[in-house]
Parts: sequence; C-alpha cells; structure tokens
Amino acid sequence: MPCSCIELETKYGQGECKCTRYREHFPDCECEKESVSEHSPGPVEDNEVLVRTLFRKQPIDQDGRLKPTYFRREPPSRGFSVDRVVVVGAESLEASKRTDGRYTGYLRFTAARSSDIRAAKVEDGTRLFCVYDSATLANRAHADICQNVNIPTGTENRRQLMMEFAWILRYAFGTPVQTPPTSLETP
Amino acid sequence: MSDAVTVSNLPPAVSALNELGGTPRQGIAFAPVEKSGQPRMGAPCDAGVRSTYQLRLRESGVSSWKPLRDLATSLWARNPYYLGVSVTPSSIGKLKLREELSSYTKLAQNWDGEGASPPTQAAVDDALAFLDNKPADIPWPFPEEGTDGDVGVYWDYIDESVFAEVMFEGNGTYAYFAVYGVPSAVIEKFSDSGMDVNSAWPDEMLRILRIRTSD
Repeated sequence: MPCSCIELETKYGQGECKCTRYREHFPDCECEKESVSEHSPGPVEDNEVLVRTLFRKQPIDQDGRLKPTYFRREPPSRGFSVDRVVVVGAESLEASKRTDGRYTGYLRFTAARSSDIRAAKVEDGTRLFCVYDSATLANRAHADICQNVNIPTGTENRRQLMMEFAWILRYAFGTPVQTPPTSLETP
Repeated sequence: MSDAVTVSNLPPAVSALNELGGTPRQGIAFAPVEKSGQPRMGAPCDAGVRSTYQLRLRESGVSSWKPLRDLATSLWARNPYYLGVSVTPSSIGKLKLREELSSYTKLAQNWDGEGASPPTQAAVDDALAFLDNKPADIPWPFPEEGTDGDVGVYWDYIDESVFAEVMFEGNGTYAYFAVYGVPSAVIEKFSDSGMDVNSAWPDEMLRILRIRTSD
C-alpha cells in the first residue's frame, strides 16, 4: 500500500488504474490536501481554471459542444487530464500544445472551474470528483480529475450512473474555443 | 463521417419512392446529379450499373438547387431515378442520423488515440431499432460513438436545462438517463437500463423531452 499521495502518483500516475488506486488508498479526495507530485507548484486551488485540450474534432457535436461520451471513460480510470492555466499561462499552454506529439493541426480548449468540479456530489453527499495536482517533469501544470465514486462492473445501474456522472462533468466544461480560457463565468 | 450511402439503407421515404420523373410535391426533393454537374432532368436508365451521384436538394417551388451540407453523398443506385422524390425534413434528419451511426462501425481500433474500440454493428442496429420508435413530436437526437463498442444518442437543450442520453451496447437493450435541471439543481431525473430496443420509449424520458416542446 502506498504510504503517501506522492508515492501513489509516482507508482500509478501513468497507468490506467490511477483513479482506482486513489479511491482504494486515499478515498474521499484525501490527496487533494497535499501535492501528489514533487513537480507541482502546490495543490489545485478552488478558484483555478482547468483547461482540457482537444487535438481532434471528432468529440465535438453539431452544436459545437463536446459529446457526453467524451467525459465517460477517463475519470474513473486513468484520470481526465487537464492543465492549470494559472501555473503556465494561456499563451505558453497553447504553444506547448502545438509542439505536442498529438497535434496535427487541430487545437481547441475547453475549461472548467475547479470548484465546480469539486462541488459535484452524489445523493448521499459523497464527492463525485477529485482534482489532483499530478504535475510531471515535462508539464508542471498537469492535473487530473479522478472519479471518487466507484461503480464496479456488474453494478445494476452502472450505465445510468456513468451517463449521469458524464453529464455532470460535461456541464462544468464549456464549449470548446480556440484559445485557452483564463477565466470563467459561473455555469 | 462516411460519404457512402446505399439504396438499402436509405429511409423508406426515399427508397420506396424510387420514381421516374415525379414532381416534387412537398418539403424537400432529392435529385441525382453527376458530381460537379448540373441536375439531370432525365436520369439515364442504367439499371444495375454502378453510378456515382451527388445528392442535391431543393425546396418545393424553389428553382435553384443546392447541396445539403453534410449530405454530399455517393449513391449506389441500381435505378437512379430519384428526381422528384419527395421527402420531409424529418426523413432527412433520420437519414443523416442513420448515416452517422453507421459510419461509426468503420472507425479503426484505437480511433481516439486512447485505445478505444470501434462501435459494433450490433450496437448500431440496436440504436436504429430504438429510433424506429421515435414519437413524431420528439426531435432527432445527436449521435455519439462510444469507446467500448457502444454507441449512443442524446438530446441537449442546455438553454432549457433538458438533457437525455441513450446508450446501446449491442445486446438488444438500452440504458437511458434523462434530466430536467442542472447538476446543482436537478428538478426531475429518470434513468433505467435493460430496456428492449424494440419497445415503446419510456414515458418518463418522453416527459423530460417534452418539457422543451411544451414551453
């Protein structure tokens, strides 16, 4: 069992089961209270804007919004990667994405406020998502949104809950735009 | 999105009205034209020959023809007499939705760069069967491709705080989630799973979707 959040992130940070491990070893977003990475400038604050980068057009629908499925796969498992715009700045963030290996000419950004993601709860009051400062050596602005509520395979209403959780996360993120947002209106 | 449509997967409103030389009577009319050409008022009688056409549309009573966006389509026409076929905007919505859903099965393994599996034909077939039961007053939803072989459709009326999503995994059933409100203030929400794709749509989901139309 990892002794600390940093140890957990070091061991599982790049894996498919990172969020599962956080839920198992540090439930209820315990690791939000401290840095989970030695490369981080500090835990993610509630007022921070978290920016998700899109390198492909496919997840965007005819209304210009992200499809619900886009928010379903990563939060329970590897984590939904975002960047902390306050750490790196919008221009630097955009420039770094243009040199990313996934960049093929298409670039959009969608953003959410950390506090809106942290405010999401399930009916018994349990926090739905945690936001961890999972910075890397190459990207000190990196953070992850991890689902705090486990829905094991085989759970009777699993698919319904997956849709509901994705709806909540999707609502927090705005319509994709061409430059990284630095501030947000309350959704 | 694939630009290939075959006669067999055109909606009945089109395929059943494969008439020669009819006059558009209502709504929007299809006409076969050669790519980059003008509308062919007398389509050739080349039954059984593969011919490539681009579908163009015109509104009844309007003489000019224009391509419908996202519907530049190659047509495998055994008997390409589509001039004068009348279809309603509703049929076009279904055609586009059907085409988009069907195109998802052609996605490659790892189509999202994150290890996604392409939707299965069974999942698409289930979605199409479900959509066959759409009540007339409910708008066509948006399609979406899942990452684990599944597909979905959804309605998103963010200004009215109405959202509904239906997922298909290809086992003959579906799951849905429908909500009126926003995450911080849900007014009403319903969900269920294991529903038969051939059955009538659940009243609870329809009630949410009709909130928008009843305003």
